[in-house]
Amino acid sequence: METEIKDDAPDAPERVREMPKWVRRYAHNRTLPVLVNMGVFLLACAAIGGSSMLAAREGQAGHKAAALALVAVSLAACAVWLWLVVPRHWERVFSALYGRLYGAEGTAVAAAKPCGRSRADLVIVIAFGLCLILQILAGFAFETTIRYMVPIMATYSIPFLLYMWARRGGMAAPFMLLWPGLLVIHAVLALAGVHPFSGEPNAVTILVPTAGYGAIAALASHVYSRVALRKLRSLARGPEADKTGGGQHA
Amino acid sequence: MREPDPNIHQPTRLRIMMLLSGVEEADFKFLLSILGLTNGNLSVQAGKLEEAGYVAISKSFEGKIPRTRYRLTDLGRERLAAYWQEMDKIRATGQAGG
Repeated sequence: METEIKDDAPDAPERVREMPKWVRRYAHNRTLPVLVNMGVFLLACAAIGGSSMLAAREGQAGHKAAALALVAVSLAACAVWLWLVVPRHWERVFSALYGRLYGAEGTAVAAAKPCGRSRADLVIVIAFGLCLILQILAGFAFETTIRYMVPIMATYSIPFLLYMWARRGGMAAPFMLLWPGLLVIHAVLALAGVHPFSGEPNAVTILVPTAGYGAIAALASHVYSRVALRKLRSLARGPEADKTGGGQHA
Repeated sequence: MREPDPNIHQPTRLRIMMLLSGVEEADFKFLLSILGLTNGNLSVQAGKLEEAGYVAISKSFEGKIPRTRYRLTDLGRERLAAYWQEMDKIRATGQAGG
C-alpha cells in the first residue's frame, strides 16, 4: 500500500532532518549474519571436538570400525571449518546470509567497503589462532590456566576483536564493542576472585565468555536495527507508520 | 533570497536524498520499503534526481535478479546542504517577520 507523503505537519522538516542519522544506525546494526556465522563455526568446532573424543573412546574399547567412522566425521568437520576460514568463502557465505536474513528489507550500505586484506590481517589472524591453540594446550598441562582462562584469553582476544572491528571502518557496528567490553568485565571479575558462571570448566564456562558475549553483542545490535527501522519508517511516512509497523513491501 | 532548489523541494525527492545522505548506497527495495511508494513513483522521482545529477543509479544482476542501487553524488550532497541552509534562512526570516 502506498503511503502519501505529506509535508504539512509543523515538525516535518525536523523529522526529515533526522532521517540520515537513523538510516546510518539501521545500516550499521544489521548483525544477524554475525550470529548465524558464529553458530556455524561453533557447530563445526563441536563436531570436530565431539567426534575426536568419541573416536578415541571407541578406539580404546577396540571398536575399530566405529573409531574409523568417527575419525572420518572429524576430518569432514575439519574440512568444513577450513573452508569457512578462507576469507573469500567466508565473505560469500556472509553475503548469502545477508540476502536471506535481510533480503525483504532491501540493502543499505553504511560505508564503502574497507580496502582489501593486508598482510597484517593474515599475521594477526594466525597469531590469534596460535594463541588460542597454546591456551588450549596449556589448559591440559596446568590447572591455573583453566582457572584464569578468561583473563588470559582477554589479553589476546580483546586486541584481536578491536582490530577486527576497526578494520571494518565505517561499516563497523558500535554495538559489537560490547563483546570486548563484556570480556574485560569478566576478566577483571575473575582476577578479583569472582568467577562468573563458575564451576568446573565445562561447555558453559568456556562458551559464555568466548562466543556468548559475541552473540549478546550481535543480538543487541540486531534489536537496535529493528528500532532504527521502525523509527525510520515513522520519519519517512509520518507517525502512522510507526503504529502499523510500516506495511512492508514484498 | 533564493528559491529552494525545485529538484529537492518536493517531499518524496527530499526524502530519497535524505535517506541516501546517511549511507554509502541503498537499493530500490530498501527505498521502497522505507518510503512506502509504488515502484513507478519511486522510479520517476529517482529518475528526476538522476537527471539533475544529484543521484547516481547503477543497475546490475545478482544471478537472475535485477538490482538497482542508488548513491548520492558529490553534487547531490552539496546541493542538499545548500537546500537546508536556504530553508533555515527562510524559516528565520519568517520567524523574524512575525
